Amino acid sequence: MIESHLLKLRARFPISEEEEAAIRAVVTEERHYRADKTIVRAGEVLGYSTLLLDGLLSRYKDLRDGGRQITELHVAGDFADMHAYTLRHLDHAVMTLSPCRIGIARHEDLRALFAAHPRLHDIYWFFTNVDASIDREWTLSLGRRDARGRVAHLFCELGVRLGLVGMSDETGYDLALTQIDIAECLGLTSVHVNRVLKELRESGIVEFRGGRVEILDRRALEAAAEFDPAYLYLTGPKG
Amino acid sequence: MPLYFLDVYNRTGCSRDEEGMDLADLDAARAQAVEGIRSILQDEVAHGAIDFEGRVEVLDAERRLLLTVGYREAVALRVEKEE
Repeated sequence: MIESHLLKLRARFPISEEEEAAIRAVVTEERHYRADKTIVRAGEVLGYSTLLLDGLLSRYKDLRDGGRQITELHVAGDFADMHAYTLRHLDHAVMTLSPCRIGIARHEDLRALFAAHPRLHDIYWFFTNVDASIDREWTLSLGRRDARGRVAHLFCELGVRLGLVGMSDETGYDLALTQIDIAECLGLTSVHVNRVLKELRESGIVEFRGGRVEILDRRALEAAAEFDPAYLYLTGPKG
Repeated sequence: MPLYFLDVYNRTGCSRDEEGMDLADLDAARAQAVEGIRSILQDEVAHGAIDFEGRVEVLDAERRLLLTVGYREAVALRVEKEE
């Protein structure tokens, strides 16, 4: 059930059969959730981390007036909150954006895994650092990219991240997001996202309709986004 | 909650809302339209030119027109008188 996760790991690191068995053993439970369900609340004390097996998850924070910022999206194969292993509670919530299958990895089992396999400890630390790198790239979008650049960048990033787990190809990918979800990721509004999507479609760059991203002109999309995948550390650490 | 569609019109034509939004009532739909227009104008300001030629049409679930919000209505505009 953790095939996507193994694909994501192996895109950057060789993982031995013994290590694979040890990782499989820490995912002790599978849970199914409907879309739009908050599965981790901010502040709740956590004894486990959640591995997304299938679906889309968001990390988000709300303001009192109802304004919501999604701070990161997770695709199949991602741990949504490995940082809860050290933080023990989160400053943000985790919500399903589509129906999701979640694997539960208890922190006591992770502790035993890392003690027995120090190399895996470093690998999971690497991926937590990549999450922080994605956060920085999103900060760049929110602070400096215009609306068109933000939408284009999100489509580039998700294409690459889904590609690592075999869920996108050159033509595009399925993406179970609404315009509201996209607006909440990008600090925009649904009306504005609708407007930008129309411009991108009419420019022959990308089309987002019915839960699918069709990439019409990859080079133009990456140019609109100033997309450089270096922040995703696709080939693992250097040296 | 009832479903509303918010279509955006400006000089380059109409962006039809295919998805719609579940909102409490028409006031909430109007607020969404206003927020949406402000978000579009904000992006335009950053590029140095604002175009008020546009509107958002709020439609019900059967796509019947309920309300129109002009871009100009979404912001208060104060321009200094020339001396």
